Amino acid sequence: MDNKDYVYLSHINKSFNDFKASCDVTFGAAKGALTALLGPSGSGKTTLLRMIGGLNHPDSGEIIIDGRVINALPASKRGIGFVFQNYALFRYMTVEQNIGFGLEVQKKSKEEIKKSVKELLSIVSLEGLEKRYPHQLSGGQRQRVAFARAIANNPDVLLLDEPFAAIDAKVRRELRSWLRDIVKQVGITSIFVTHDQEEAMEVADRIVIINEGKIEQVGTPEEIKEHPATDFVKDFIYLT
Amino acid sequence: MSDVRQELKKIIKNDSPGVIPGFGLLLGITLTMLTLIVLIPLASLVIETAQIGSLSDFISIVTDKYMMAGYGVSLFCSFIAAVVNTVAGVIIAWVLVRYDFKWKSFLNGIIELPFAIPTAVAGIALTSLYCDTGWIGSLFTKIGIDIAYTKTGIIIAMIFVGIPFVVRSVQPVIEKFDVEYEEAALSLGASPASTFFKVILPELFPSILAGFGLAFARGIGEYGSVVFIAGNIPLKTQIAPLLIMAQLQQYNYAKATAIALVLLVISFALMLAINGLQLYMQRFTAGSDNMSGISKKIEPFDDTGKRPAREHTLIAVASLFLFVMLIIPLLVVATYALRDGAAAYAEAIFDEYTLHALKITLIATVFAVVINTVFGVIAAVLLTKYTFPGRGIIATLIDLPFSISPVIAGLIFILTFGTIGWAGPFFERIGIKIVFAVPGIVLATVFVTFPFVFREIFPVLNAQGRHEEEAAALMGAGGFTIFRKITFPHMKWAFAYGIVLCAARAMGEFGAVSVISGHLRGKTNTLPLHVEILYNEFNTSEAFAVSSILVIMALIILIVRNVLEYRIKANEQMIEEERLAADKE
Repeated sequence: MDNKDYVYLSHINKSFNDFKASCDVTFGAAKGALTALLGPSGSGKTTLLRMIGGLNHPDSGEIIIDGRVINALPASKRGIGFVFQNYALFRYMTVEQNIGFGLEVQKKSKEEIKKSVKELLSIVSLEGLEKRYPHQLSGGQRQRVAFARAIANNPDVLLLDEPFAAIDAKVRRELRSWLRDIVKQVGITSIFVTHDQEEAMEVADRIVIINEGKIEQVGTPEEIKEHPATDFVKDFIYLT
Repeated sequence: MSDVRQELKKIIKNDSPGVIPGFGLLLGITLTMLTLIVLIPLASLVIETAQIGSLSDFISIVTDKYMMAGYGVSLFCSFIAAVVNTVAGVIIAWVLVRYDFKWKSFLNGIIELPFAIPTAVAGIALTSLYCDTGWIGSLFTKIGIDIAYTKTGIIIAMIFVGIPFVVRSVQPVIEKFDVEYEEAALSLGASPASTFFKVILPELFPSILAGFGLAFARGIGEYGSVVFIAGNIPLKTQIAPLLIMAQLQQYNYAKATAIALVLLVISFALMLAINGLQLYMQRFTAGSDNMSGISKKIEPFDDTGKRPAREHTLIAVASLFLFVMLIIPLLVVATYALRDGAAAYAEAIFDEYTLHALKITLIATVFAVVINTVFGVIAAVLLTKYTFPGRGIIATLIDLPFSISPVIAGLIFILTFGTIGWAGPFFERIGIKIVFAVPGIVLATVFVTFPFVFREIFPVLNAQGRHEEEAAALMGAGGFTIFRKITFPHMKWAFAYGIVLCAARAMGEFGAVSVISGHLRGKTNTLPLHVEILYNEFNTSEAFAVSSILVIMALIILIVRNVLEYRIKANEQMIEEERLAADKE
């Protein structure tokens, strides 16, 4: 086990009925870094992300965060921020109530919550939108609110499920570099899922390539480009 | 290809209602039937009201202390019943969608029992159950609480009739509920309980409100199930529909009409308020409906496979509630029917008055089913396959009989065809007796069940869209061919289901028929009316014996309904799977 790996998955197996979603998966994500889970649709990358977050449970194997095995810990107690593919913003709450939701759960005072929400909104460059409802926001704005909500509780790990899938191509490029900058600024260990290899190359410090539930290669973008470990990686990187 | 596009452009520019042939015919039939069956009789209410004279006369009629007490009783009891049904309904719907347990399909199948059982049968069953010698009533009398002939009894009867409304309103929403909202709340540290109250409940609120409104409105207008258990003690347990009935029996048509009008205004105001609130809440869901498209289930946190205590409790509460409210009354019918032995049971069933009443019930049912099915199909096709102004109004008008108290439904036919009705003399002259005769019973039954088939077919056709029919029309197919080959296959299960519901309601219709029939044994009695007479004459076991015929028919209808629903769901799932598979390619 690599000492620098804040999040570490060890020999994870997961099946849904007859379908094997994860097959002996082992990899780690370094502290404070951006790790991408990259692979085609149906490869099992989202399942892995969800298992880290506690939304699904591995059949066997260990999920280790900061040296502790957290398999038995329920999702609500893992202290992990999750940004969903379609944001899952609470439709009947304002931006302020959405972002402050986790803080309210922790019974923080009203003033504290108000202050935190203001800070978070300025981090994601959405100042002044406290009282808006999700249906009044654009896709990019919703994404940033979802992001602010996920980091409001100061989680140790941030998980993002295809964060740019629902965004138009033009806005996507800006948001990619924005994400990288923010994560580095906040300093949070982040793992994101994507099927877009260009995105992974641009944004991630480490890439975990997955296909049909198995790991094909783990490495930095340069390593993967220059030394693809399998034929699949070669085809995936160069043909997509 | 460009010819087709030009054709379409021409048509659209001309503001034509659509490409599919048959619009004029469908519109004509729909409007005619709507006018004859719904609008003209309703207009009689207005005509009669106008004859009351001055506004002060009207006000003095509707505000006398018995009336005020009547509205009070109806509104109060109905409100409480609707609240109970809302809480119970949400729990039941949740349990049926989210949890798995052995008797789940059974519970799901009996929810519609209050629709399938005639209100009069429910009425006498509940009365026998909760009176001081009844199975449940006797338990409470021992500790000094009376249920029958008090407001509590009324509330229980209203709960009974309202059970399906909230459950069926909320259930589909929970089924389609995007699990991601819950997962988001959990990832932010919320407990399952606070996730439910803060995140899930607001999402369910519009449907809960709709169910509440329907249950409330239904309770206000309910007659058959409530009138027996209420005991009709003046100023204490007289419900508004009973007051109307009492005035009718004394031929005080003006007073009856006045009360009916007030009741209608209250119901419409209620529905308007609820619809308005729902429309307002639709804003919040703009642009984000069912985002992932697939409904997933949350994986249980505890991988040991044990069910948390919370689940056990909810399942127990839901099951107990349904058992007490639905199953026990059924057992009452069965038990009391056979109390005097099998011979007496057979005698009651094959009694000549019973058989005659059965005949009339079946006649009215067949007419209602045939007429309303034809109408339902035509109107549903008209409103979903064509675009023209006024669609919304027509849809609202079609739904009117659904929200009107059955007693008022009977009243308007008396006001139209009775001796004091404006059309009465005409029919007298040509020798057709309508009021206090079988034709009247048929008309009232048709009116009350008017929207049933339409309500089942409309959403299915609406969801289907009209592209297939338009494509066929552009290829030159005629209207009937399009219907036969394209439209009908899509709606056939909803079609069957609508017929079944319509038949059930028609057979059980009590309030409207009670007003218009004259209660002549052997001549103008339907089966539910016959039950009432037997019960009021203290021929209790005969009353229950005859009731059992209706209950058996109701149970058959429920079974058929469940089979059909299973088919509809399987069909939907197949289509969904095909679509997903096609997308993946």
